This record gives sequence, C-alpha cells and structure tokens, in this order.
Amino acid sequence: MIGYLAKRILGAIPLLLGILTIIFFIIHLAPGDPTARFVSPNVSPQVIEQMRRNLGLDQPLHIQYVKWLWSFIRGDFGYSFGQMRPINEILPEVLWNTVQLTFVSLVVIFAVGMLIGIVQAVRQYSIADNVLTFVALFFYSMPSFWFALMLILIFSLKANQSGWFFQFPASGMTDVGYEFMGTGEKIMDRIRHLVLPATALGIGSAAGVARYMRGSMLEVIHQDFIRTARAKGLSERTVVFKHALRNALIPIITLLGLYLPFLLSGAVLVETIFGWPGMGRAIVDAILQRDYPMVMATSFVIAAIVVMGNLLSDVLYAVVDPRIRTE
Amino acid sequence: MPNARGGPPSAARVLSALIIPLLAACGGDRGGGGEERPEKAAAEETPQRGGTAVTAELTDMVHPLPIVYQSEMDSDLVDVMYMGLIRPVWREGRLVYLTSNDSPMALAWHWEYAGADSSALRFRMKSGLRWSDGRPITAQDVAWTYRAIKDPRTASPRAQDLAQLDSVVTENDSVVVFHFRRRNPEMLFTTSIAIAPRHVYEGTPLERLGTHPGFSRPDSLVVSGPFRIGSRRPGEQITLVPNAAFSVPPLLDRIVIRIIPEPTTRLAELRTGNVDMVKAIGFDQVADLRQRAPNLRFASIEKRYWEYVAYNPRPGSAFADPRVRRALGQALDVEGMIKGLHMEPFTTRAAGPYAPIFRDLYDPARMRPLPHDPEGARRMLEAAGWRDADGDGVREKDGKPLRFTLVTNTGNQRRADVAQVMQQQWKAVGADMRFQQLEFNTFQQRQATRDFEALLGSWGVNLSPDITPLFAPEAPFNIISFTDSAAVRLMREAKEEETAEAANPLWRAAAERIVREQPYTWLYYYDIVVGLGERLRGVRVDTFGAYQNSWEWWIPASRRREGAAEVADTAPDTAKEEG
Repeated sequence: MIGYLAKRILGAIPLLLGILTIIFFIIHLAPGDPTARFVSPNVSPQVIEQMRRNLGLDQPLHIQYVKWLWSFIRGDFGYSFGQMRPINEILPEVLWNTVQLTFVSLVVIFAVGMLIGIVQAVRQYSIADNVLTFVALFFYSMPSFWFALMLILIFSLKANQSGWFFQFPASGMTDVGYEFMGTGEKIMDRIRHLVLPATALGIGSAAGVARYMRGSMLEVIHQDFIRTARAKGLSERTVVFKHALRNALIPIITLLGLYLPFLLSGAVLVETIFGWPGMGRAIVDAILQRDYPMVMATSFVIAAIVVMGNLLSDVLYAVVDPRIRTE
Repeated sequence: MPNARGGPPSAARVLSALIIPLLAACGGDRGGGGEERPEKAAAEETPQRGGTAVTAELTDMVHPLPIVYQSEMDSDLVDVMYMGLIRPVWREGRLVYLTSNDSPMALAWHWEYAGADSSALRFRMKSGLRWSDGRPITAQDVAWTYRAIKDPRTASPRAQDLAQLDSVVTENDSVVVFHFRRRNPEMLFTTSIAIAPRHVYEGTPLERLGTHPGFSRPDSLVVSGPFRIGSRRPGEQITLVPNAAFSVPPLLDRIVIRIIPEPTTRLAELRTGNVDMVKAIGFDQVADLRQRAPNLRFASIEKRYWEYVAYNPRPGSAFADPRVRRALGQALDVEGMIKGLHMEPFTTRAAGPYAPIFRDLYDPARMRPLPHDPEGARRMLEAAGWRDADGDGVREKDGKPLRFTLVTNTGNQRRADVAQVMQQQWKAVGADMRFQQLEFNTFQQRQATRDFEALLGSWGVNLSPDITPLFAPEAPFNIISFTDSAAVRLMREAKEEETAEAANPLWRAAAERIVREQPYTWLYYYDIVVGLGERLRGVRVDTFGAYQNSWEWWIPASRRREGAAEVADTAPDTAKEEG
C-alpha cells in the first residue's frame, strides 16, 4: 500500500507543475495587472511604472516564470500583491478557516444525506420516501447563495426582530467580544457562527448524497445476500447497517473524494455572503486583483487537494471493499 | 481633481441586487416605540465614555500608511491613525485648514507664508506631541514623510500631489518649511498630508515600504491619531483601541471594523444592531429602510462623484460631431431616471465637472444641465445629417447607421439599470445602442486605451479645482480626447495663477467651454450613503468620509450590548469613577 501511495504522489508532481504552468501563463494573459487598482487620474503613469518595477512586473514573462518556479520549489510562495503580506503567512490562515467550515459541512452532507438516503431506500415508495424525495430535490435545486441569504434573512434578521430563542449571527467567525469570553462561551460562539454557513454550504450537497445513497442502497438491498441475511433471522437493523450499508458505501466514498475540492473552491459564494475569511474569498479576490503570486499559491492548494481527494477515495475503497484491497 | 472610479466589481454586488429587496420584506424592526423618561433621554444625549462601536466595511486593510495607502479602507484607517500638520475640513463649500488650536488632529499650531514671493510655507508644530510608542513627533518626521512620497522609488500614489513642491527643510525639531517652485493655490492642500513615523520606516528601502513587515503585525504600527490597531484577524475584523499618546482621549473603548463583503449581509447586521455603521448603502434601499427600520439614520459623503457617458470622438465616428453628443444628451430624461430608480435624495442632476459642493466653482447660471428635449435632439441629429432613410428606426449618414456599443463594468446594478433606460430613450430618437458589461480589469484597460465607442462610468473628484488630469490633451485620462484650445489655454492659465481667487474664474470659464463641447453627457452627481444604528452617537460624516471625528464617537451606557465585550468595556470606566 505504501509503495502504491508513493507512486501515486510522485506521479502527481509533474501533473501539478503542468497545471501551475498553464495557470501562470493564462492569468498573465488576462487584461490588467496588480497595479490596476492604483490607476487613477491622480496617479501619474510614471508612478504606476515604478510600482510595476517594484513588483518585478517589468521583467519578461519567462523570467518572471523562472523566478516564481525557483521560489515555489523552495517552498516560498512570495508576497501577495493584493494583501502585501507573505503568502506563506496568509495561506495557513485562510486554509484553516475554510477547513473548519468545510469539515462541519462535510459532516452535515454525509450524516444528513446518508441518513435520508437509507430511510428512503428502506421505505421505498412510502409517504416518507416521497416527502423526503421532494425535500431533497427542493434543496438540491436551490442555489447556495440564495439559500444562504434566506438563512440570514430568517434566522438572523427575522429571528432578531421577532425575539426568537434561536438567533444566529449573519457574518464573521466570532463575536466582536470573543477575546473577553471564557472557554465554554468561546466554543459556543464558534458553533453559533458556523451554523448558518455550514448549513448553506452543506444542505444542497446533502440532498445530492441522499439521492445517491437511496439509489445505491436500493441496488444492494434487492440482492440475494440481503435476502439470505434476512432468512438467517438477522434483525432488520443488522441487515441494513451491517450488510447493506457497507456494500452501498462505495459510490458514496467516490463522492467524498469529489466533494473535498468542491467544498474548498466552491465555498466562494458562501464565504462572501457570511463574511468568512477563507480560501474561496482569497481566490476570488486574488483573481480580481490580478494578484499573480496568490493566484498561483491558491491554485496549487486546490490542485493538490483534488489529487489528494482522489487518492483518499482510492484508499477508502480498499478500506471498505476487501476485493479492491486484494487487487 | 479626479481620483477614482466607480469601484471594483464584486460578485456580491450582483447577488445583492437580486436579494436586497427581500430585506425590506422581512418585516419591521422592533424597538423605537414607547415614550422614554426625560432623565434617560437626557442621559442619552450627553457624551459618555466606554463601549464598543462596530462598523462594517467591504474590504480589508492592505497598508494603512500615509505614504503608500490607496484603498478606501486604508484611507479611513489613515484618517483615524495619523495626524497631519494641518487638518483639512470642508465648510460651506470650501476647504478650510485647521491648526492644532482648532483640531486635535493637527500637528502645527501656526503656519505662515515665507520667502520673498510667498512661495514657501513655514509651520510651527505643537510641543509635547508623541507617537504611540512614546517617541516625540518632530519636524524631521514631516520632512522624511514628504521626501519619501516625492522619491520616485517609493511609487507613492500621493507623488503627483507634490508636483509643485521643491523641498522640505527643518529649521529645528518643531519648525518646518515647505519650499514650492512658485506660489500656487494648492500649497496648503499639499501640506495637509498625514505624517508617518520616520524612526519606524527610515531603515526600509523606499521601494519596499508597501511591504513593510509591520503590516503583518498591525498591532505594532506606530501612530499619532486617536486610535491604533489593537488586533486584527485578516479578512474578518480589525480592532482599534485608543492611542494613549493622543491629546484627546477617545470616548469609545474600541472600534471594531468588521469585513463583510456582501451588501445584504451588511444591511442585515445593521438592522439587527450587530453593526453600528455601514457605508455605501444602495440609494434605492434607503426609502424602504427608513420605513422598515425607523431607528436607523442616514448620512452622506457628499457628491464628490459624477456619473457620465463618455464618447470617443475618433475620426469617422458619429461622436466626432459635438451636435451628435449634445443630441444624445438631450434625448435622456435624467431627472426621470433619478426618480424612477429611487436615487433621490442622494443624487442631483449633473451639468459639468464641478459638483455643487464646490461653492467657488459650481456655477449653475453658466453650466445648466442639458434639457430633456427629444424633439430638439431629433432636429439636431437631422441637422447633423443623421436621417432614418430606410425607416428601420435607426438613423443613417453616408450609409452608416447611428449604432454604437456602450460599455461599463460588471457588478454595478445602478449602471446596468441606467444603461437600460438610456437604451430606450436613445432608441426613441433613432440611435441604436448596444450594451456591454465588462470585467473590471478589462473595462479599465478599454478605458485607458480609449478602446470604446461610448462608456458609462463615474469619476470621484478630489477637492482641488484642477481638472487637467481629465481634460488636458496630454493627460492619460483624457479619455474623451478633449482638445478644445480655448479651454486648454484657460486651464493652463488657471494653473499658473498664484491664488485661488485669481484661478477660480479661469477654472469656471474652462469648465463652461468644456460643457459647451459636451465631450461627456453628465448624468448626476451622487453621494455615498452611510447608515448609522441608533446606538452610535457623535459621528460626523462629511465629504472627507465617515471616520473624521472618531475620538468623539460615543454610545450611551444604556444602549451598550449585553455580553462579555461590553462588560469588559465598562469595567475600566467604573474603576475610574470609583477612583
């Protein structure tokens, strides 16, 4: 297994370099550059030229590429032109913020999605199945930004105006008085701030997982070995959770690998709406500001997560399916 | 003098255009009703110490240093964190410069003209001034700041403001003299830039000032103004705490600036009371908010912006003929747009490059807005040779239809709405406009390279009367290729004048010539709307911005938030009273 993993990781290196090289040249082909935000009638063109020199943008593109590559190989992502801070300082901050949100969202996605899917499969064509199918499709087809704003309007604004017991903050990761709170209050404050963004990010995907889970379970549940298990007199709980679920999990694990990069890059709108300072916002800001080093760094992270996500899926296949492990 | 455009694009703005109307539909706010006891009401009108104000901003800080800042957030932070020799304020349509006798934000208590031809200014600085780290603020800090701005290696966005400045000389630790190339009306304006601490930044190569390591640890930034940065969570919030070295202790214990990019979320936070001040509220939201949330107050950063249609008069283009430009202007019902798109009272019909806030330059008698006269527009187009010969509703001349593309940037719903109205109104006089929204960088590049037929944008104007950056033939931002020799001569003469009294009539005359040529269709002057929650008091919003008097902001004790933050805030106050 270790040899297999090492082979896969080594194989990913040229792939990542290729992706980053393409991104480097594409982003430099886009109109504008990092000095564009300084351009105004009040700033002379000479000043803008000097800014370009100070940022090294006056050099030929291939020289800029070689310099970037050399820094990158040494683990130095350079300075963000948009934030004027070392990217090695920015990346851990935004990654950690996004990981907190993504982790909770993943829990929402898979816990809620799988549970609904199992119920639907076990009670196929029942009222519960039909209602859950409708609800799942409703949330699946709802755009995440719209859902996010509805959550804010209802559970933050309306809840505040109506004095509801459950009120959730509309933005930020913590309250303004966070540093004055005790440990317990801090944990509760973090959770309160996570509820709306994690729900907005996860609920649509949970509905998707529910559909996959239902289909997968239905396929398994009608197979001979399930009938045999029931004939042996096993309880329905054991049949469903021990025999059927484990076999139905393989396509769901594929989804896990696919959702990981999606959640990191697809959190752009949710992070913007909830003022969550994560990777999604960092990527969009970097692209809009033509913050080349930041675009490269975030692209690397996303590309690496895609590769790792796929690798993780493959490893998890082996964990749940002994046949794959043997192969 | 112009200094900005309509703002960068944002996916959030597009979303907000769809969603914001729903905010209003979310019911009325609680509170505000009922009678208050007189003593409680009186207590709420007397400034009190303590409390935390929370403001919401669109973007995070980058490098809030007077020498290199550019973004709006950095500009607000510079207003709060750094003092200048004199403090410019806007009073009754004119710039007034306050000394330390009238403003705690000024370093100098006296200034005077110097030199035989009064081409120098001597400032005498107040004694006992200190930076937040305890070091004295001296004339050397002033001289170094100006030298750094002027040095080409710094690439300071302020460098152009110092074009007439020759040198800055210190006579001793508290007297500094600015020598200009010649006497000019902008001398005081030039000397009002905020001052940076020399001892902190002197060792940094000037070309690396913008990436000084201090910006990664902003709680270590050395400042002179009422607040310094106490802590920062990048992308989330900046906490300002009082600078103990400032001459007037701020009333608030903290100002927390939260970064919330999405306008709908900012408004929701304002309405729930989690945020006390929000800038850049959509004009069309205000009427609804007034009705639904009567506890909110609104103020304006006044009319330093004008929205325009720029025409590219390149040879062979219909816009090379001023009659076509004037006719297209007359075809537009701008008053109707202002009313129909709910932009009142934060916009007024524009007539030329000087907004009404400029008392000495805005001349409504000589620069009247174009009348809405579609019939006159048709006649003018006929006279210019544009006729609808084939009856398809679009005029032609020499076989070429009067058809053009109007470009603007994405993410600005106001401009998209205005463009749709203009399209209909131009169609009614036989002009076929196609509308194209461009990503901001692409839009900016097309504007800079004059690669457009017509362009919908806006200029934010500085408080100097100099309009040459927009209209001088050699100016990079003369996007309308303006070349009228009489106007150019007047502008040149105005720049040569030594006093504002002598220069202003020339600027007005130049503006009148420019307006006659109609290189732009001036649409409207507009404000930036600031929403204030009921708790926050003492905020003075003027044309310089919303953070002008942060040390005077206060919150009545009875209106402070419950919770740990406010308990911590009030604790020192109680201790003081008991002491």
